[in-house]
Amino acid sequence: MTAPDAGPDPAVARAWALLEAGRPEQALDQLARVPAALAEDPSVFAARAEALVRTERWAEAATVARHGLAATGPDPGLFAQLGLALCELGDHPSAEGAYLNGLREDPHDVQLLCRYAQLCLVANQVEKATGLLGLAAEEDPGHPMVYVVRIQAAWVRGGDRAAERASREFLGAYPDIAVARAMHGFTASVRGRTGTAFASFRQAVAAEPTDPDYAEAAREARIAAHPLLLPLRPVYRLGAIRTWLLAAGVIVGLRLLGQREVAGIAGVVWLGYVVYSWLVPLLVRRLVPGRGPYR
Amino acid sequence: MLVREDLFTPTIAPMPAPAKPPWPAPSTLYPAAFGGAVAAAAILVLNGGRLGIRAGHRLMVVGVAVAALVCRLWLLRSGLGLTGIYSISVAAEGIGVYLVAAPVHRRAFRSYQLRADAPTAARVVPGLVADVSGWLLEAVLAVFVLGSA
Repeated sequence: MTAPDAGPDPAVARAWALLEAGRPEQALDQLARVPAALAEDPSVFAARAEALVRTERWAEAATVARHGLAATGPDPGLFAQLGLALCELGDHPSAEGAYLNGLREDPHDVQLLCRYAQLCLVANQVEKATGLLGLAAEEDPGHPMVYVVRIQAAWVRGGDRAAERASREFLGAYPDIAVARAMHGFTASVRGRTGTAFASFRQAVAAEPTDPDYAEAAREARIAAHPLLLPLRPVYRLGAIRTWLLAAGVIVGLRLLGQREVAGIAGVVWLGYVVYSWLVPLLVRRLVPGRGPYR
Repeated sequence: MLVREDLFTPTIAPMPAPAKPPWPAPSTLYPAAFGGAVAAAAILVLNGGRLGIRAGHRLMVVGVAVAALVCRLWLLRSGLGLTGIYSISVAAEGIGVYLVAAPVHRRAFRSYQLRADAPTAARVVPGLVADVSGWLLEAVLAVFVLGSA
């Protein structure tokens, strides 16, 4: 969410500036300084709920959004924040209710359409999510949330190439924002491009050093890119199914050609490779430190 | 095909966390490939329940596993030389069952991964149990079928 209004008090404007700079805790400190007379102002509720969302204090974010809606009346931005907080708290039907209430106020709100589409993806309702994404794209095809949901929808459907293409477009359109880097890293890791994934997640961490999700993703990418896992790159790139079919095909082919001993050796080598793929990642996970720096 | 009104109609039911977390869908390939159709069906049906996949699809997986098992036993009995590649035929059978279930399982698992809290279960012990049980059952059936030929 971006700043809806400069707000009635300089502290609110400063809070939004801090939010945009990725410093939500300091934004909350600023909002604590807002005069009591302005505490019921819609912009204060919006900024406070946004800061709580960004610090992943979901229960508090839901409470603030609910208070804001009760005090100031229906507001699509507050409904979007309430829906997201409820979704993260696992109350998915109430989250849907919040999104639908928001969309009744403004059926063209791209953020609400995209958040609702994400909720449908979580519920494995991919067709509905795609429909909502289509509506959001009609409103603003270049909105960052539209790119994010496009990537997620393609990935859930199993279209990893399409997801990777969309993430490249996203990065091309928004080269400086952390989420574009992170989504690029995510699709690169899905496609087995471990080096690219690590580089992208490092850039995401550099852009938003306080985000624990980016730091965790960077660590996972670093594990996957570890030199000890180099022999597993074919599995990462081809996927387990194709690799298994290839191995089985080679072994059966050798047997059909009468090379029973070679086929036996190939079978043992393959079994060793599978065991390596199970054990060595566990070892690497212990070798790679739990904390950064991943920049 | 959904129309605009459908998109604004509530459809989200409560999604309680499964009593036991699911196994990652791609990793169910391993017990399937090592254990054959019986192991594949056991793991896929269990995981399907954890992922909230509808009962009809789980029954279909069982049906495909039975068909694959019958097909392999028939080929063994017909003397096509499959006895020489017993383990490969078990793997092919399990991979076949896995491939039938994979698209639905992958989609359900990826949706599950988008949840705020999406733990996954350890899979080594259940996989080994399914594999050993599958091998024993398939071996008994193979001995029985080949012995009666």
